[in-house]
Amino acid sequence: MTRLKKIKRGSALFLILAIAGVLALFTGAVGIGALTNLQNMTREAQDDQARFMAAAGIQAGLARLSEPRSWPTAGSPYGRGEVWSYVNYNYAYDHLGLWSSSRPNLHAYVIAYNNTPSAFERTATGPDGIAIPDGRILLVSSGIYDSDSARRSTTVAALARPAGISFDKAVFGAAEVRVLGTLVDCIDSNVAGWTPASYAPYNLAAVPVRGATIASNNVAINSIQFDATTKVDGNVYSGPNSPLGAIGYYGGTITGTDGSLPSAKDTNNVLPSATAITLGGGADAIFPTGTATLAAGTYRVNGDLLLYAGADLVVTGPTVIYVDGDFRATGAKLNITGKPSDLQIYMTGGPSTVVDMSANSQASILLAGSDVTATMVDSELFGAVLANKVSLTNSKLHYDTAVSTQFFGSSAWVTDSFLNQSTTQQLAITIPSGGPPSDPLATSGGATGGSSTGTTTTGGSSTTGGSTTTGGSTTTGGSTTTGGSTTTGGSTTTGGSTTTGGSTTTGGSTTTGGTTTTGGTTTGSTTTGGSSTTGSSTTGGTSGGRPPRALCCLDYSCGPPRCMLY
Amino acid sequence: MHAVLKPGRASGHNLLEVIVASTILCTMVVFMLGLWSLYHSALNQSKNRLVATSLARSVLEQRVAGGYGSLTMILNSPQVQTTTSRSQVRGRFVNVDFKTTFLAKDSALTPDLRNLQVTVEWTEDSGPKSLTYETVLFKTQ
Repeated sequence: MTRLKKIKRGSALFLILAIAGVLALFTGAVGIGALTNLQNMTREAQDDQARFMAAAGIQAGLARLSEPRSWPTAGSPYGRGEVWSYVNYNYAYDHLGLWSSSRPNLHAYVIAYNNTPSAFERTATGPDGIAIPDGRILLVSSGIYDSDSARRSTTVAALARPAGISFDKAVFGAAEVRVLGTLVDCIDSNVAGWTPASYAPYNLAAVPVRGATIASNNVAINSIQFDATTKVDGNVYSGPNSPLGAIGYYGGTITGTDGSLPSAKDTNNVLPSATAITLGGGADAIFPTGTATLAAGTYRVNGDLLLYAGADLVVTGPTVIYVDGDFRATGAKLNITGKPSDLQIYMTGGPSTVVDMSANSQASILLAGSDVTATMVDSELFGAVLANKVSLTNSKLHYDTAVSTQFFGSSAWVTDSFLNQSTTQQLAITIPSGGPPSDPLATSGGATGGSSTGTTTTGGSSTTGGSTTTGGSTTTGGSTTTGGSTTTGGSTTTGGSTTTGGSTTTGGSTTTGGTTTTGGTTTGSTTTGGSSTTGSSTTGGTSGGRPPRALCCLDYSCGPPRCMLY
Repeated sequence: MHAVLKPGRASGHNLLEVIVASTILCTMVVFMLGLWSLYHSALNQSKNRLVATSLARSVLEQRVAGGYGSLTMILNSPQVQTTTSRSQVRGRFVNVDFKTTFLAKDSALTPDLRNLQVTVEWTEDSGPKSLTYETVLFKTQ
């Protein structure tokens, strides 16, 4: 009777409606969670595609930097090689655009900020004020995924460095420089008709050129040491942040200034060319008394390169010799009728090898071996020397200022380091507006190829939405928890294998999963799980006074891509 | 007895109430079962996409890490591998095959750049799906 009293009419309907409501809410929440997870997976794939495209932009930038140098001119305002600067002849941003060959909605946009001595317009700061080390080029690449419903972008930035050697110093010894009783002055082989025979001594004190720099990466006391009879027509720099005393003058005189290098100089080891002609039959290459002529080309000596008294080595044009052993010249002459850049000698044998010139030897060469010890006594050299340790005694070294801004041994550029995520998030690429002119790269088979003709780009474009910026390696799994269900994604990238798992637990049912796949080694990866960060913004607009220019069109109004890279 | 039963007639469930409640409950259950089916479908799609994403990413990064030179031997030769994802869904096992195709080829404009492309293909209830990643590699890298 009591039970009957507690049951009210209509309570069953109310109870059912309540239960149904709770179930509906629960189901809705779970459903939204599942759809959100699916969207996150889709976005992750789009971010990945943009990231790989941005990485492709860095590679394309390196390819363009590595092209043979071509300065921008009024007639052809596009620099090539390392003089592909962040501005061109017309002081407009110098860009590189590339599109995917298979997916028109994928593209990348690259700008180079150049802090090398040869830059058309040198800059020591990136777009957000980030410092660019001396001798480096900052490549900023935005990969963009476009579709009707989404636009995702990822910005990657990397510092590029040359793989070749810069003879921007007359004498460079990474660990030590000794200049005793020696004159170090300047010549310019670009002067018409110049030969070593046309050299005339000049008064350093009265008409200094100040172009022959002596430097070392070392910061120890007396890393660079002179004596009272040493004269240098240029500057002297010891290693970065070196203390007083790192340069020991001992009465020696210089016409320039002294101090510390802003950053350690690269001392790249040049790798022998695979197509080099073997000199010396696989052993020592010996040049006895008399004249020997080498045809212009690339040679490799597997043993020592030895020139004895009275030997005169003549080259008929630009010649490169890789020496695996020692290089010794005693009373000999090398290329003494040609420019220093016509005979480049690279020591490839490692720290156990030496360079030794003595007994009135004369040479017009560029000599590099970052591991070797180079000694010159009672000799004369036109060109430049780069070694681990350099010792010049009672000699003359005439630095060729014509080679100061070039790279030798290799024109390639490689990535030095990638900027971390927090930094690249601040970088932004400004896309110019206006009609893209014809792309000169298309006619010369350059890295960027394709042509930009026909359509006019207006207004620029904007990039919104999340952007993930990758620097080194980041791995983030994706995990979404909704209502009572948990969806766990996640991919783990490890050194030797890749395991991708996934398990889903929903209400009372269980879906366990798990897929194991093998992938091999994965390095430098970035995985974004669902969430993304804001990063690059791409805005339009034309800088006042600058002629509009774009290698490629990045605006929606452009229609089909016209700057096909690959 | 009559006095006791009289209030009971005013309380409790009548037939109409039970029928209406049952109808609503059944409708909701049927509707939610459909939603749960969609939910499972979405979860499976997510899982498949996650697997495909991870496969594509790992293969491409593996190739990038190998460098430009490592691609010479497989240039213009598609590298295909099939991976099976085995999952347990509501008590039954389901296998999904993922076909991963990697293709490296030289750029049409300069052989200094190589185009790397990974395509992962799989099949769902709604039809075949695919995911493509691509990038380029410069020869010095």
